[in-house]
Amino acid sequence: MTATESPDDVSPNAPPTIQALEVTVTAPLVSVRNPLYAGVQVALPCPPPSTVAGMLAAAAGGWGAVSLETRFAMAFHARGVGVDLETYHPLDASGKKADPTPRERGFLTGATLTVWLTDEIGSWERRLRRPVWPLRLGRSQDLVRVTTRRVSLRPGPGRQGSALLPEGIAPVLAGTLPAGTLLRLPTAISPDRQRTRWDGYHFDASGRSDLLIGAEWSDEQGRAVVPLPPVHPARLPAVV
Amino acid sequence: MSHVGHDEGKRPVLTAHPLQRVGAYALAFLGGAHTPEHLVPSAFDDAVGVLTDDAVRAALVRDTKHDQGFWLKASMSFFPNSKMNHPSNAKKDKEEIRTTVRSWRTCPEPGAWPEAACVLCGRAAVGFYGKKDVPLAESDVYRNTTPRGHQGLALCWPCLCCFYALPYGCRLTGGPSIALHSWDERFMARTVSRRVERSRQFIALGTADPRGGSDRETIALRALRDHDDRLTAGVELLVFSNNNRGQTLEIQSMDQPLAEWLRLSARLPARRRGFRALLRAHARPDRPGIVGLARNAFRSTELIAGACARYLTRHLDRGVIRSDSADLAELCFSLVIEVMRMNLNEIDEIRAAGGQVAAWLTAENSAGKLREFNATLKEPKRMRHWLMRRNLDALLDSRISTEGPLITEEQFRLLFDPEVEQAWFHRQLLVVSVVQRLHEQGFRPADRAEIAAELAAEEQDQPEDLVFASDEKES
Ligand SMILES: [Zn+2]
Repeated sequence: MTATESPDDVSPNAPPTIQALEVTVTAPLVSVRNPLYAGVQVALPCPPPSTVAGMLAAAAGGWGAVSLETRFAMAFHARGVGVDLETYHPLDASGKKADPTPRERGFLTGATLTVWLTDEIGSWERRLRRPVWPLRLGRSQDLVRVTTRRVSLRPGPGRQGSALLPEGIAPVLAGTLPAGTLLRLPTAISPDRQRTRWDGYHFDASGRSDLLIGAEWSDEQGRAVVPLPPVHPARLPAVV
Repeated sequence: MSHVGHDEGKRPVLTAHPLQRVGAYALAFLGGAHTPEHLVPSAFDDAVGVLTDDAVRAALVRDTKHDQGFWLKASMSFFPNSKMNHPSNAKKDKEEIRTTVRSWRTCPEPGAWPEAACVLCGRAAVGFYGKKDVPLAESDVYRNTTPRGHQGLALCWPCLCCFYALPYGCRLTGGPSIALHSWDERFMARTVSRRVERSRQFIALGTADPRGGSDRETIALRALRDHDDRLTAGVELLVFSNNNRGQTLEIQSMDQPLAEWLRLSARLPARRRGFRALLRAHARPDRPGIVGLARNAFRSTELIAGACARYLTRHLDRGVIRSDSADLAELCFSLVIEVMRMNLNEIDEIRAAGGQVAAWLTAENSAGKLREFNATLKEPKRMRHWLMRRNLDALLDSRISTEGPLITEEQFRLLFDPEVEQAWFHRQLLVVSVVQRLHEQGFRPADRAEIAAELAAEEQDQPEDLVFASDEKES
């Protein structure tokens, strides 16, 4: 992340803050599938970085319009979970017509996704105001509502809350682990879907953890803002 | 490192897929290695050889109802309609079955490899595979989830072999299989190796595990108890079937702090007595405590604390404090501190209040007063009123040596303020601490002995719990 000194903060003793774009995405229903199990539809407790990255790329008009260096920090909270039935339409390779079948599919309700971007703030602000492609989180029938505002981030630790934390980021309190579950989530997926980069992330679905995380930045409310690994698919290594 | 290409093509690597990871450890262990990184290429071939031989032997049984048909039957939940258990095997002769099963389990010639990367590890794929080879993958006739041009999942040979080895790392029931997974690698190595030893026996004999699969959650508790090191991640229990009648997957997760707390509670000598009481608190006449505890552990930590509180208060209406109360209460507080991460100052406040209430009850030394207090548990209003009343009494009563009020303003706030989100939980903890202190102070009202004898007779430990809590390990 390149730090841009905030001109608002002129107090001589205050540590330097940086400007960031805080993107708030809300949706009544969100469904993100675990891509590891194709035959059954297991839902993830939060959107993986690759999904959020895909949404940003959709706003920009495709990965070609997005910088290779793009990184962001994110937090996610859902008020509830549920399962419903969706009609699954198998695409038969032999050309035969396959029977649609009902399948259970998990979903999250009352979802709020927060994304912090610190580079190209003005450009992302414009893109998210007028996205090129419609913005969704995992279900094509449910569009999301997006708002943006500029915030300043302070250097130093922040509260875990509902942050998605890359594995290895630890609480300030020595010997402890972040609250919640350790997940393996896709960070980037190649456009032809042949290659996926997986990383470990800590996520507490309750969002209640008050643990102070040794983050690079925290926001005005003291929430930890931890940049995730780069998400641009062009950075994925070639097939070996 | 000139032979890297060759070697790397024969080494399972750990990927993001929990079932592949269980299989990778199982494969490593079948090859005599402790972890997948330590599996040398020749041992990899040997391990794959074991898988193939077992598959051939099972296929030759032909009939799942045969008394050695267990592995053949179980294989239907992993590799349905494969060469191993294809319905047409009934009409084939032995040699034909041997040949087809072996060729199914042979790495395709490099000339036949597609130009695609393994979706799990990125190495060169040797073919495309669907649910016949990879549990919970899409059927290979469908194209909904595979990249364009791929007929199924692109997999390298080691990743594919991990799925072939997966059953060895699972509890096999003949129906849905049970796998225990964690991102803690030491835990995986230990747990999967123990499981492989058992599964190999049943696969070799072709008979089922006599324990069956009814208590799947307890598999996790047993594995935790047998683990020597601090857990660095939580555990997941995956119950799945790749059966032709419908694929199913159920994932239950236990977070690291709870897993670690359970591990320590079942192992540390200082906590073992409390742990026995914890099992008793979860036992029902028709169900061992270990089953109830394991289920609560996967559902919610609060359910465990709730079971403790219920157990501790179960006979208060008869004026009885059980002999294991103090141990269980202490364990319950460790849960609240280590797992639920409740604020320590608040816990101290609640414990202090509990101590004062217990002191008052001890001074009264009456089962009737304890009953009275107990009766307020379900109604916050009554409890509040009762405490305020005792507050006044205590101030006026010279027999009670407490300084200051029975309950402070801050304690009242924690217990009854509607603004305090966890007030109901604080009230449960108050009762836990009252019972703990009463036990410590030797609360023994006159009418107690008779009732205690009755209770001892009606509450016997479940045999399964005694085995779990003793030092006998699962053999
Ligand atoms: Zn692979």
